[in-house]
Amino acid sequence: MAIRVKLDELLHERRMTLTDLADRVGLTLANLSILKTGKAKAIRFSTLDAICRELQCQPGDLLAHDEGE
Amino acid sequence: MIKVAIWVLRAANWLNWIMGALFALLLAMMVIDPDQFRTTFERAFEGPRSVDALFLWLKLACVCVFAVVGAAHLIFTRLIAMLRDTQAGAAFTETNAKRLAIIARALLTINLVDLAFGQVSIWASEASGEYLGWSLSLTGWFAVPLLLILARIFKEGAIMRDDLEGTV
Repeated sequence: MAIRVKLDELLHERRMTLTDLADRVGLTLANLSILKTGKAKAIRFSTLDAICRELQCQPGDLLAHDEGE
Repeated sequence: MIKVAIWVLRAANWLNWIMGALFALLLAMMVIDPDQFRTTFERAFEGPRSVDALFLWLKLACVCVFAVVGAAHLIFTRLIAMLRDTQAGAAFTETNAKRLAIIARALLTINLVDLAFGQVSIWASEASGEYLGWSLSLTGWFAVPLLLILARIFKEGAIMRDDLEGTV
């Protein structure tokens, strides 16, 4: 898919683990892992809102569109 | 509840095959020893105009039963499989949509066989002078499009479920 999830990079910049984020946003580790690895088919606005709030970023910082793929 | 339904359907399928076997036996007996059947028919029906027509009607009835047994087997086995999937919490799948479509086609086969059997019965009734009893039932014909629509809904449901599973 042309949509790339940059969660790994954001977590690295903020020195946060996936488990920490899962606890803060109230999602399961399995679901966040699906999102991180780019296997998710869709993302809820509520999930996006929670991640942006905890990582203090904009949706555009989390998602990117790769033309080539 | 689902467990009971599975057992009932299994028993129904067994009865279906037993019925098929009995008709196969009847057909075999009619082919092997037709004279005895003719005699029995002549005794059973008081002066029918054509015992041959009755004899042929019974043979065709046996052939029709084989087609119905095959179609009924498809219906029962697919229903059992669908109930098992429902039990496992995976009712809305593409496989079940295909199973429903197969059930619809099997039901259509039964309806067509019934229609053909009806024509044979009308002809045999006229030829023999015995009322062989057949009436057109519309219930089965309504069930076929209903099942095909349900199969389509199942397919859409399966796609939606698939999407939902990938939603975070």
